[in-house]
Amino acid sequence: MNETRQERKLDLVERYIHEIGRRLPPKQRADVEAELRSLIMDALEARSAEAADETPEAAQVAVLQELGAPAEVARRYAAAPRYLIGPRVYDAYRRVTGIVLGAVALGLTISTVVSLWETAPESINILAALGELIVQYIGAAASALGFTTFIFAILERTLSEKALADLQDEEEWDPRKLPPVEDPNRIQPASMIVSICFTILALLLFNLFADRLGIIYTQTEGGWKVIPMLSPTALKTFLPLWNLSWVLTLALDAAVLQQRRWNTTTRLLELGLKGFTLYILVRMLSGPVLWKPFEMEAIEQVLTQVYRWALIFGIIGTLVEIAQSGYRLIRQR
Amino acid sequence: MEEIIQNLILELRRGTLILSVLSQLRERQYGYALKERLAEQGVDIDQGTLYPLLRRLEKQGLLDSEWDVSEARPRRYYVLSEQGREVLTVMIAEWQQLVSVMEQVLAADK
Repeated sequence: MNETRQERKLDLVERYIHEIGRRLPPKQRADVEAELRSLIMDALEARSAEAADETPEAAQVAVLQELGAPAEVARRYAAAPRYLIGPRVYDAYRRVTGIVLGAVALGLTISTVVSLWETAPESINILAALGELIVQYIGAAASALGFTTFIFAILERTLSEKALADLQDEEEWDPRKLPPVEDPNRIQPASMIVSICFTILALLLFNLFADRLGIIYTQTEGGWKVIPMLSPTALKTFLPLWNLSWVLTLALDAAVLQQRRWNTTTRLLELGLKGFTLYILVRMLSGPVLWKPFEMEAIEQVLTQVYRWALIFGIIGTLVEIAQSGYRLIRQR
Repeated sequence: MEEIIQNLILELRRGTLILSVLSQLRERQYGYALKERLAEQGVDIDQGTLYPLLRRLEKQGLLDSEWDVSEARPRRYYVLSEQGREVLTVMIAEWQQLVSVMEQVLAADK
């Protein structure tokens, strides 16, 4: 091979080729590098034939710039656009992510409750437990999301064409089966699951830890102390009603979630539940206040007023909701 | 508007690029010479685009390639494969069809 003096000083060219090469898959790399080197030499030769007074460095710079940025050129050698999670797999990824995040929420709620159940009553702190639940959820959700993403990134690279095609038209769709445009019966799974979690929490809080609910303060010994605020009489009166309402709500939410949309039956049941809620609110209005009476008359009076007004607003709100739901149901007939 | 026009022109050119490249490879060529040959005929294509394109076409089975070390500098030569020739024939027919259709469509618009 004939090596001219020029070829020995081609550091720029070598750097360029190296930059492209390191972005290529290893199988291609050596061959592409060799080919590029040969092609760049051809270009330099042609150039020096035309512009003999150009410095070697200027010539190299010009040729390399004409070829283009190394990252660009390397990208073009790739067979297909490089995605972490490509368009064809993305929909499935979104669906799975939704399910995973919901499952994590549910699982954590249950495990928090179980661990609370097993802790000695003196050392239970509801607020701290709730805070910890949220923090734990963030961590668990992040890592679940990470795993899901990782798995789908692998799928993107390994799924055969046939499998991808299967993924796309897994549901043979029928235009007649599409839901109507303004579909008020669509559910949002995310908010349903959140609602379920909170209902479970409420059930457990008021049933198992009612005596922990109240004002929390620290004692100098370093432990949390709770002044229970819930009045036992009020609790005895209302808890059965609340429990019934929560359990029914849970059952309804679970059913709707499973069916993936509302239908007339579930809507009617929802209406019934709202009616039941209304009944509970009215009972609460005319019943004892929820907290243990304060010694100070003045405070007690004010609080009672506020409480009753809050209930009244709640009643009005529920009435409005019932009216809306009823109206919607009638319209749909 | 200038940008839109440039993009549309790019799209148009991109569609004919592969066909023009294939059409020049009935005889074996190496990358740089091919670029020159295309340029002589009015097809301006970036080297940074052409060379990876040749590789991809080879990977798809439309081209055969081999290193030629007989000359002063080793060069990689490309030529249409058996399959490539068939594909080229089909594509040329397709192109001619397209041209006549477009002539009609554009004429009707006058």
